[in-house]
Formats: sequence, C-alpha cells, structure tokens
Amino acid sequence: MATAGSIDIPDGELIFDQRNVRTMRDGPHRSTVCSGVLQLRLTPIGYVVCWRPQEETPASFNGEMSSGDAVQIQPRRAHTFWFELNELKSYHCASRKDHYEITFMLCDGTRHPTLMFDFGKQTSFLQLVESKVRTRVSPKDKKLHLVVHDDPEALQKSFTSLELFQNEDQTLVSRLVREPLPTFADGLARFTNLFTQNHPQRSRQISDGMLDLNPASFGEFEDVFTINVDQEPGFDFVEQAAELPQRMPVTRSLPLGLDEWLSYFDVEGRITDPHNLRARIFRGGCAPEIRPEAWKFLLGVYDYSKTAKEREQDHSRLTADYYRMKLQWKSFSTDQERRFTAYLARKSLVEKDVNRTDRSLDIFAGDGNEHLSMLNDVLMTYIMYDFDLGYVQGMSDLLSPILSVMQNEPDSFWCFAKFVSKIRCNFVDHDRNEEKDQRQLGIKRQLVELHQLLSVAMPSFTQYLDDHDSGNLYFCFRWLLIWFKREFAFEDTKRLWEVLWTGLPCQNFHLLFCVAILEEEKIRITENNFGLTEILKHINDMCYKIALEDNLIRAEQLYFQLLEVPKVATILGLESLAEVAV
Amino acid sequence: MSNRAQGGPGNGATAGKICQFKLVLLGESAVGKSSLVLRFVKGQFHEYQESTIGAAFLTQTVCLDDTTVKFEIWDTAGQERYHSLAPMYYRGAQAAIVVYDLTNPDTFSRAKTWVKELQRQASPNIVIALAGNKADLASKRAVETAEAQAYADENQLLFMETSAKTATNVNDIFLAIAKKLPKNDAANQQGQRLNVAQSAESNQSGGCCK
Repeated sequence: MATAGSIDIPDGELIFDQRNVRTMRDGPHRSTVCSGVLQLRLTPIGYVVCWRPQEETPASFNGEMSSGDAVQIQPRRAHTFWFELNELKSYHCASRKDHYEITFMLCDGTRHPTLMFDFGKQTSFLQLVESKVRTRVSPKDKKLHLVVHDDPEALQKSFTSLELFQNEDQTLVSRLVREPLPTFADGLARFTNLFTQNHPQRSRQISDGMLDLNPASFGEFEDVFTINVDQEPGFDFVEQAAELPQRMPVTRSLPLGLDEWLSYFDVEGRITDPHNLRARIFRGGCAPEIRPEAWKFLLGVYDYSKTAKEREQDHSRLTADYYRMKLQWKSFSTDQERRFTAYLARKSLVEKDVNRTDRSLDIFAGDGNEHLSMLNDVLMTYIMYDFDLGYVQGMSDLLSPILSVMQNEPDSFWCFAKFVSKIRCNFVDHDRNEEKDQRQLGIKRQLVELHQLLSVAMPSFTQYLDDHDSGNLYFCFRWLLIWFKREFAFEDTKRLWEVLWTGLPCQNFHLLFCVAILEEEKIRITENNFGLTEILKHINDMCYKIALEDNLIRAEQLYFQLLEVPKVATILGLESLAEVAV
Repeated sequence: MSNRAQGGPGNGATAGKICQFKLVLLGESAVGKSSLVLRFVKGQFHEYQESTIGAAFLTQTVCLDDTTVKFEIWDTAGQERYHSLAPMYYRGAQAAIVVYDLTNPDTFSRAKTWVKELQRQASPNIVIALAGNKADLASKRAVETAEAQAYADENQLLFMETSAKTATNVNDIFLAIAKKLPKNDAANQQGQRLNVAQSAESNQSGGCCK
C-alpha cells in the first residue's frame, strides 16, 4: 500500500539552514505569525527549498482509526512546505515596515506562504538562490524576480520583455520612419502628457522650466493609448487607461461603535437618516457589538422607518414564523420522508455540507457542536421556506458568519433568507427547461459584466486573459458565488459583507472589488506568463492573503474613475454616492 | 506541497520522456473527490474537508520507469446544481476519476451517470477510473465490491476501492491511470510544453523513485 511518505521533505545534503524565518499561519481564524526553519537541500531530485515550523509541534499526528492503522492527519496549523528549485517560476521581494518578505511562485501557479525575515537576514539566502537559478528583474515590477528557464517559452518571454515598444507604439515607430519630425513631436508630446498627467507636481516643475509641451492634439492615439505608470520607483506599476480620470484619494474609517450607532435613532427608535447610516457603515463597517441589530437593518429584516415598538412586534412575528416552518420538517415521520424523495435529497445535501462548514473555527469545532445543529436547522427550515431553490452548495458558507453574529436560529434564518434573496441568481440553475449555455446564468452574467469593467479599467490585462483562455473569468467563480467567504478570514468576511450590504456606492460594488484584487495580481499573472490552469491555481492560493481594507479603498477609487465612463454605468448599477463621503 | 508522488515518484533526474495529462475528478457531492486529490498531492487528510466551490487545480508528478507523468488535476464541485459547469472541466481531459462513496448507493448510481456522460461527450480515448472511496468505513458498506467491479469490467474502467483517510489505493489508482495512458508523442503533444531542463546536479544524481 502506498503511504503519504512521498510528501515528506526529501532527504539530502543540507546546504543552508536558517532559523527564525516567519510565515503567517492563516485560515478562517485570525492569522498568527509562526517562526520556522528555512533550508536549502541538495537531494536526489535536485535542490529543494523547504520551510517548517520551528517549535517542535509535530507536523502531523496520529488520528483515530477503527482499523488501528496509523492515520496521518495534517492539522490546518501545519504549514510545512517545500518545492524543487527547478519548479520555481518567480519570487517577489518586498521591504515592509518591520521585516523583509519573499513570496515564491511555482511554474504550476502555486503561490507559497510569504516568508518574513528580520531586515538583512534574507541576504545570504537570496544570494544562494540566485547562484542556483538564473533570474531577471521584471521590467514592470522591480520587486518581482523571474526565473529564466531554458525553454523556448521562457526565451520568447524574455525576448518580448526586451521589446521597448508595445503594440500601439510600434505604429509610432513605423510613423517615425515615414514622417520623422511630426512623429517625434507627437511622441514627445505623448510622453510629456503622460508624465505630467500622472505626476502633477512634476508637471508644475516642468511648466516652470518652460518645457510645457502638453499637446492640444493627440489625434489617433488618444483613445487607444494605455501605459504602465510608475507609481513609485521600484514599486508596482498600475496600468491605467489614459481616458480614465485620475485616482482620487479615499479614506476608510473606524467601525461604527455602539454610542454612535445609538445616535442614529430618534426617541421612538426610528432610524431617521438611513442613507447616512449606510454611508457610515460603508466607510468603516460595524463594531461587533452592534452587528446583531445593524445587520438586520442592512439586510432588510428590519424596517428603518419603524419605531422600536413596531420592530419588536415584527420580530415576534418573524420568530413565530420561523418556528412554524421549522415544525413542518421537524414533524415529518421517517415513513413520510421515505416517500418524499425531493425533500430527502435536499436534506442529504444539507447534512453533508453542515458537517464540513468552518469546522476549524472554535464556534463550529468538535462533535455534537451546538452551533452545528443550529446551522443544520436553519438550512433545513430554509428548504421549507424556498423549496424550489432548496439547498445549493455554498449556502452553508453564507449562513455561518451570520449565525456566529446572531447566535440564535430565527434571527439567523431571516438574515440568511434576505441575503440569499439578494444573490438568488447565483444559485438558480435554469437547467430544467433551457439550453446548457443558459445555466448558471446569474454568475455568467456577472462574469461578463466583470469582463466589461476589466476591459475599461485594465484593457491590456483583459486582452492577456482573453489570449490565455481565461476571458470567461471562471477563476472568479468562487469569489462571486459566496461573496468572497472562502477568500478572507471569518472576521474580514463579516466586515466585507456589511460594507457590500450597504449597496453603496453602487449596487455592483462587489464587481469593482474583484477588479481591485485583480489589479494587484495583474503583474504577477502576466509576468509569470500564467495560463488558464496557473491563473486558477494562483487565484485559489490567494485565499486568506488578500488585504481587505486596501482593496476596498482601491475598489472605491476605481468607482470614481469609472463613474464617468458611460458604458459601465449600467453594469455598476449606479446610485448617487454624493453623500457617502462622511 | 510536494511535486512528486511516490510509488514511482517523479524524479528530475530521469532522462526519459515527460508526459503531461489532464485529469478530472467527477462524482456526487461529499464522496471524497477533494480528499483523494489532497491525499495524492499533499499527503494530507482533513476530516472536515470543505466543499469545493467552482473548481480547484493541482499538479502532481509520478515516475513510471523512464517516463515522468505530470498530472494536471481538475477537482470539481459535486452537487448536481453545478453539473452544467462540468463539461468545461472534462473537455480535453485524457483521464477521469469518477468517485462514489461505497457507503452510499445513490452515489454509485450517480457515478454510472458520469461514466455514461464521459463516454458520450468526453475525448474518445479518455481513460476512466472508478474509485469506490471511504473504504475505511467497511462496516457501513452499501456497494459490494463485486458489483462495482462487474460494472467497471463491462465498461472497461479501471477500478479500485480507495480511502483518502488511510491513503489506501490512492497513489495506486493514479499510478494505474498513468500506466494506461498512451505515452507516445502524438498522443501527448502537451508534454512538449514542459520545461525539461534540469539542473546539472540533478542530472548527475540519477537516483529515482523510492
């Protein structure tokens, strides 16, 4: 019988060994820093880089097994990883506030956990790696080091990167030959314009220096011209279509706390200015203590215009309604169930998924967990509430954060039902009566809309995805289906959802959030020359590694940029954001 | 995290052919598709492996004599509601593992439907393996080995009962597929895409598959 032995780090001559190299122990729970040992070994299969946790917690333990066999069960906290150096595609280095970090990306799209070094402690390791593999610095991101493989594809890539002129610029080159002087002036003007447009301060300096060549006429280039603009020397470039307005600074606030929350109610308990409240929550989210109430308003379980007394009546009615529906399925006899296969099929799906929803979190851990049975009962009751839709995989992910906030079944149920109704199209499959290509229509429509947004915000990246069989953006399927639930730690998911539930600054802000995340990954994807499978792997590997607040800021900046572009206004589902800036 | 599987683990040192195959996992929800892949690729098992949303992609390399076989593995969501996405994942696949849970007869019926669909719509020469997973739960068995074996024989499928939990037959079923896949160049043009360059050190070391 085969064993899992092959997954152990291969033995070999120890070339390099360094302690106190840290990485994040991430997952749905709060991430923690974990110290470990970084090694380079020369093994029979070549050079191997490995990292394993430093404290002597075993990398695996013996699980329980009825047959008595030792079962290797890898707990989530074990982050031991290794890879062959000849599988390395690139690595990304960055100086952070208090450490230096390196992230390794492999040929198949794998992205390993980021390694963090005390300043200066990375040097000898990097030098060693660079002595074993040939690398070049990405011209688009000075922090990205690309391994030069001796294969035709890589050579092609290197050659391409040497081309100084992009497609549009080649037209410029040929014109330069035909009409040297006007073309030179035009080209210089274009350069100057881009330069000044993106560096207003320098623009003034240039004007003062009488170098103001900013042209009145861009002619044919104006519409198509895009360029990579260096934001900060040596840092990531941001591609920006020239026609989009400049990015505006936006800020995020602290979460809305209890005192401030209470100030939104009048004496009878009405919320008098719901828009302002939503704008405030959009800007900073909610403090945990106000979530059980605030989420009910955001999701539409409660009506802003009702008094506290009226709300209490509504709440009692809803609670009773929940238990009425719960009783329906609870009172089925086994015999009755046996002849109700449509119900049994749904019940079985719920059981399978409840059992494996967020079990690594304390709140859902262990056998006989009380929250797990609540999860089950709410989902079962939902089946009675919307039997046609039934249970669809992904729904348990939507319920678990809500349940953790509400801590009771009826409130969780109604918040969940309202949430599902917002994104019901994600779960409906029109397969009964329609052609195959009509199925999963809701997600497909959103992916098409996302593609349109991308083509405006990042045209050349969109072209890249199209050219690499990824134009359907299916690698974003999980993001859209369950609103990033698997991408963020539990607490971050809650923050993201409450921001998105405000419906501000536009109904489809979640699509802009996708654009923001992809903008950050764009250079890694293109410079690694990732194709369909590598992109999917890279995107899936990003889970728990996406910076929430940074991306919310960028998504909002994108919103202001795209506001003026007529063809995307409908996609965004625009609603005035005039008052959001509180 | 390894890129090498055992039982003929791939070895950078082999001077022989490198073949690359697309393999897709299909089967009813919660039969253990992701767990089989996780066991094969990372040697891990999570009792409460979360459901797969959309699809996951992983790679693993095995070594067969002088041939290195690199699997590009597509792991899919099992629920019927997501069935319409499956063709996208099995299109162009040279191999498929159709998984059922041997404690649940419904999942065996579903597996048969998958086999039919693959025979009708996937690549004509696709190698299909049938995996009766959760073999560790012998006391709850609901699908007899003989029945599944007979079905597999009728349909020229590879068949094994597996356990992702105990690792029983997991590497073996992938290896059996690797053996059955055609290794000639015409059948595996994709393999040419692979970077076969090895470092000088690994070329000299020559050791293999342990």
